[in-house]
Amino acid sequence: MKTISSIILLALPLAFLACNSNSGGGSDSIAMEPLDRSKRPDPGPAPASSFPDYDTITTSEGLTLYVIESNRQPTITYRLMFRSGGLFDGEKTGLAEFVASMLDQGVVGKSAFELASEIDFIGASLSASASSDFIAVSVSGLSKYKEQLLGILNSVVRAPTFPEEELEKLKERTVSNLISERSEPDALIEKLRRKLVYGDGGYGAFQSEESVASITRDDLVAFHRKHFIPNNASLAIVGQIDRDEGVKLVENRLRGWRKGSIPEEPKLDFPTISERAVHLLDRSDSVQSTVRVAQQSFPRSNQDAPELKVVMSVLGGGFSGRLFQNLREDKGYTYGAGSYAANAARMGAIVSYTDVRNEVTADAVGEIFNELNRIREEPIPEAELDMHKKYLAGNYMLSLERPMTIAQNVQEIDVYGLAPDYYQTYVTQMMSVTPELALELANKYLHPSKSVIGIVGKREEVGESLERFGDVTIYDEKLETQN
Amino acid sequence: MKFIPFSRLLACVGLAAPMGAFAASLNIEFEEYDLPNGMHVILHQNSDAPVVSSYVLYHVGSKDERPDRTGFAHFFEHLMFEGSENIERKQIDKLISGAGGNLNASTSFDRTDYYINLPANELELALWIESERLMHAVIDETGVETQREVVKEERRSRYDNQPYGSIMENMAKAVFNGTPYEWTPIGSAQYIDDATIEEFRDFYKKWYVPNNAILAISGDIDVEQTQRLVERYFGEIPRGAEPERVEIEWNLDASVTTKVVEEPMTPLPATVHIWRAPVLTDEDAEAIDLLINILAVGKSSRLYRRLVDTERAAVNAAAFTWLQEKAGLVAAYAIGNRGVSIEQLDALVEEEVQKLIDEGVTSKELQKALNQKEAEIASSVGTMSSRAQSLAYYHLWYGDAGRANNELEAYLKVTREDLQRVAKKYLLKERRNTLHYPVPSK
Repeated sequence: MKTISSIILLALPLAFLACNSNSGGGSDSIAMEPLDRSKRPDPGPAPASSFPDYDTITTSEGLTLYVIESNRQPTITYRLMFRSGGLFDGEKTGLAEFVASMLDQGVVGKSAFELASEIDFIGASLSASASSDFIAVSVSGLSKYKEQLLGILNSVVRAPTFPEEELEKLKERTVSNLISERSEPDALIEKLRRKLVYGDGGYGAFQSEESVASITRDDLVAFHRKHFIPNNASLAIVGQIDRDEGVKLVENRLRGWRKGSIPEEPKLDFPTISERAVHLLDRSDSVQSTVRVAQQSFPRSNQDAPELKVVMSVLGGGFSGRLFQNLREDKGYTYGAGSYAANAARMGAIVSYTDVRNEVTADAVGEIFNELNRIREEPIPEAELDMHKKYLAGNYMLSLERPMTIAQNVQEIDVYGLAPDYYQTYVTQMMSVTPELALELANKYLHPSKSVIGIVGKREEVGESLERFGDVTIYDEKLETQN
Repeated sequence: MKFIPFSRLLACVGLAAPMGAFAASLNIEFEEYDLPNGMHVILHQNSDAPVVSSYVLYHVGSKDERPDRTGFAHFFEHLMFEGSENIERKQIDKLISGAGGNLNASTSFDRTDYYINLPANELELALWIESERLMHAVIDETGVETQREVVKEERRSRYDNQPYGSIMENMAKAVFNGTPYEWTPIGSAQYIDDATIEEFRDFYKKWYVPNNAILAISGDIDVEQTQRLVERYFGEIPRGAEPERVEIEWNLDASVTTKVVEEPMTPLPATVHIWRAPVLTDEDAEAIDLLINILAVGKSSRLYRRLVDTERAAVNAAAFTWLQEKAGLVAAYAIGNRGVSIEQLDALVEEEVQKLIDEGVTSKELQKALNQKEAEIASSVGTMSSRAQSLAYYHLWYGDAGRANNELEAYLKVTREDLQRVAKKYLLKERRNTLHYPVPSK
């Protein structure tokens, strides 16, 4: 009754972590010699590591099921991901988020409070959230409650009742949150950054009092009916459970969940960014400027993504990235600075970020562009490149210590349509980057001249100094233009 | 959608137990011993993944600072990334990055910690770096100058530029008044500017000594070989003088205050009720913790149910404890929906707290809180880093790293009567401090 396509990923030795010296660094031998503190100790032989084994099963209802067994702790997590998110909001921005937030606000046979009491009584936790590309619902708790936990997931996903009264309460809280976000620099800059890179619809849309008011119970029901279908989802089970038990539990609990037709992808229009410009959201009490330099980039499934990650790491990854070293360690402008590629199914973004005191705002923006230009103009020195490759590969291996990370990676393959062997070749691809390739990728994908400069800060103190980077458009806290 | 500001502000100094500890069903085996120089060593071997975590805990935090030198312990944490006699300036992070690892550090009221996570074959790199930092860190003008600016920006990012950003400082000032807990780890930038290089060196000499440090290592290690390596890197570091520690007389009797914090960025009305609470290791600590669960953890908790769900007065309501080495507090807060008065929020929180005092809790609520605690403890054993942290934490505060394996037992002893007793003892209205964050009129 089910087709099984069990994929066992093969072991991938982390040969790139091999020792630097020819001595092999055997610790038993060095214990005999006096310690030379002036030298970095040699590493021992590199450990073999691999993307862990997991099972993939497709149920007869079309649900993709991953079982990732781990006995590190006596817990279990069920994480269900639908391949639909806020991009399907249509005119009613925030609809997907509302659906996610309403899932536990009443299910067939139980009020919101009854359900919450049941969840809390066994010490479980439930979370449901929507991004533009997906909705994720997860339930975690002690593995001794594995059947009840799946029962909770089953009822919130398949039998939510969306009571009118709870919807009204959620609307009130959402409006309060909107007011709150208008005073938070991090929330404001993220909205501004998305609006600038993606325009007003799709990835750039954000909720307002009007959009909140427009959402009705019928909208929730219709969205739920259309998108919450098993063949539009994957379920990862992580924790103290083996494959056979996981499959059996799911078959019993989710039986009768009917397939539907996969919703057609909405059409998206993206703005054309032809020249550099400054967008300043005036927050008159800011004692710091929250800065983003951002540009449009490729969809998550682009084949160069792992290689570009190395270039991005040199530019602004971790403590050793150039932006951190320049803006913080060299100049003392900031507590943090870096850059990253923001993932999205249809169009990603490349973002550099920092928070700096008002008086050095323009200088900091200038330094970000200096670094963006330098990485396009000069080959990255071999040693620096090598450090970042090892940094990424090693930390990727460390991240696999957490079974939830494995689940997230596997479900990312599903939701973004990555190659099935993405994580088998991931490290090899990163390690293959040479200074020449890095330079080529930097020029292919980084476009400082087509970047927007988004800033949340005090106009009175920083506005004028930013004019040297292009036209300055001023916004208020609702992101409406003021000039 | 989540409501972030309060929780983010309150979570960032690492005040609570790191990750809880371990469920009864899992036994984290470890070995522990002291080096002759007094450094305590804890080793836990696990080969599930080829990783190793090194965790160094120094028993020094912001409460050990002079009142005219606040922020010192945290500033020092930054300086410890600068370099040592054998590690060039700014190389520590690069050495770890190039080895495929990551590192960071944090400072709280009571301790400063440093962690490094690496592929297991790089254990020795962590030992080299941590022993260099302890033995002869370089403290010079160049490093101090840059980090002065960095720390000022950290303060602006985390607190001064955020709505409700002053809440931690105001809570500490109100409840810990008259003790060195009345300032928070971020301290005052002014004092860092005033300090001389000699003062930084003196601080280092006093607190960064092996007899004030715990080294916990967990992961894919060979225990015997690791013992030899630890001896090799740390054994030659001389014991320091036993640091003199501040004495604090902590009791519940103190005058209380109500403070109205007028800040231009406050988006929604908020109230915080704060009481003095016992120290971390007090016998009432577990009962208070469970009481807070009943009051505020989950959507069926009393505060959420009453303020957010039934009355629709608040967008968020919660409670938490900061139980420290030599002082403690417990707090409940509510952030109102637009248009709700602070007085209404006050009255609702007050009623719910009074009910705990007058009527106690049900046996079902106690069972729920215990189940929540069991799950919380169970979900904290995943990573080698969390295991090293937990073992060091329990050794430092309870003198018993093994408590990491049976933390739940202390909770299972708590009765309904205990819960009502501690509610009466600690949460009386006349012992309450109040902070109000009104929305400014525009």
